[in-house]
Amino acid sequence: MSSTRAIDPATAPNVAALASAIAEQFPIFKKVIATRFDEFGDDWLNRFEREMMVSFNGDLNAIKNTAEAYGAFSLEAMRLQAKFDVTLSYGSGSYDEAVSTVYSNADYMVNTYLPALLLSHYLWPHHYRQLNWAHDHFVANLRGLESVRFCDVGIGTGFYSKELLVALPNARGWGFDISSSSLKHADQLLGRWQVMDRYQLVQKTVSKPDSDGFNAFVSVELLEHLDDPLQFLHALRAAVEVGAIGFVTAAIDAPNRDHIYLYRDIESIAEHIRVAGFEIIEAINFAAYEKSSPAETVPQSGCFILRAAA
Amino acid sequence: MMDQNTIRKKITEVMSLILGVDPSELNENSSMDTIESWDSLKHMKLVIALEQELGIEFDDEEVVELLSFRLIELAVANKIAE
Repeated sequence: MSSTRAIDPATAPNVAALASAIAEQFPIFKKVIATRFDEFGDDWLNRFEREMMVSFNGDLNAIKNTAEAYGAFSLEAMRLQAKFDVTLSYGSGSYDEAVSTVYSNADYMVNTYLPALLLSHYLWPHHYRQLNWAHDHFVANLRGLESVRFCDVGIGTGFYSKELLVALPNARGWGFDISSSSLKHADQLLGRWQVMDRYQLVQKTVSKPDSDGFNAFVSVELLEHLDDPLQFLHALRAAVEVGAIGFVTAAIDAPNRDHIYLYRDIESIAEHIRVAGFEIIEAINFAAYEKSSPAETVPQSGCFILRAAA
Repeated sequence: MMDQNTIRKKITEVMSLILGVDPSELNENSSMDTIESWDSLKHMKLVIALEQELGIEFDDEEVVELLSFRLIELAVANKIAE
């Protein structure tokens, strides 16, 4: 009865294996891959297959574990969203608590959080649209620079650092994160993509480099994880050169066990960004899905292209 | 305690509302495979609506098993009998 297209295992064996693993372990998500394929087409499938090939290369056990991570993580997010519809509060505690229960919890980070986040770049529609927008509006702008020295703050899986280094052969990157598990994941991911020779991992929030400054910066869905995102944005501004170009995003109305600071609209993020000393070149908001009623909340990504002001 | 007919009627009402299908189209074989609009998002909305309407709560292991009208009906009956 479904009109969605199945994934051909001959064309995309890793994505097809993931689709089977998700359908087996979490049947309620069994339509997700075919639905995204219908929505985003062959380009999406080719990119996702390449990502899966580099990460898993047909390792069915690893694909099965990743499917389990995605299912558990998504189910929790959907449950939290339903509660959020009523409370309009994250209720997740403090940043220190998130550090203790999430970022320093190696079992949860390695087996659930990081693999699920990696898949979300392709399986959550607002994350995939955000990725495309980043390429078209941010990476494209950096191509004109003679050399790119970027910092990525709150690297998570290392996905966006990888995207930049693969797209820009003249780029060097510095990835900042406080989580050992994130640093290890990023090290593996960038190693598999053979770009670690142009990248350094730093276990702290963010700081100025010892030599030349950063002329580009990335911070994807970090602000909502902090007690005081404005304080962080000031620190980020201090770490980059005047005129540096950046891509910054924050989650809106998107509860998660480690989301602390609640942004309810894109303008609230923009206000923090301007106060911290950045000019907004472009901004856009991507929603995970359409509202089915006025009272329903929908997770969104507020995305910005910025320039560090003088 | 609700009888089986009442349970079935309430499940039908909730499924019809959440999945956007006419009640006459629903039967015990209705499932994610037979109702195109029944995706993961609608599934979670369906679960939460059933919990609210019937005063019950499903844990995550149960949520992922509620894949058809029949399975929902059985699970709800078991919950109410607890």
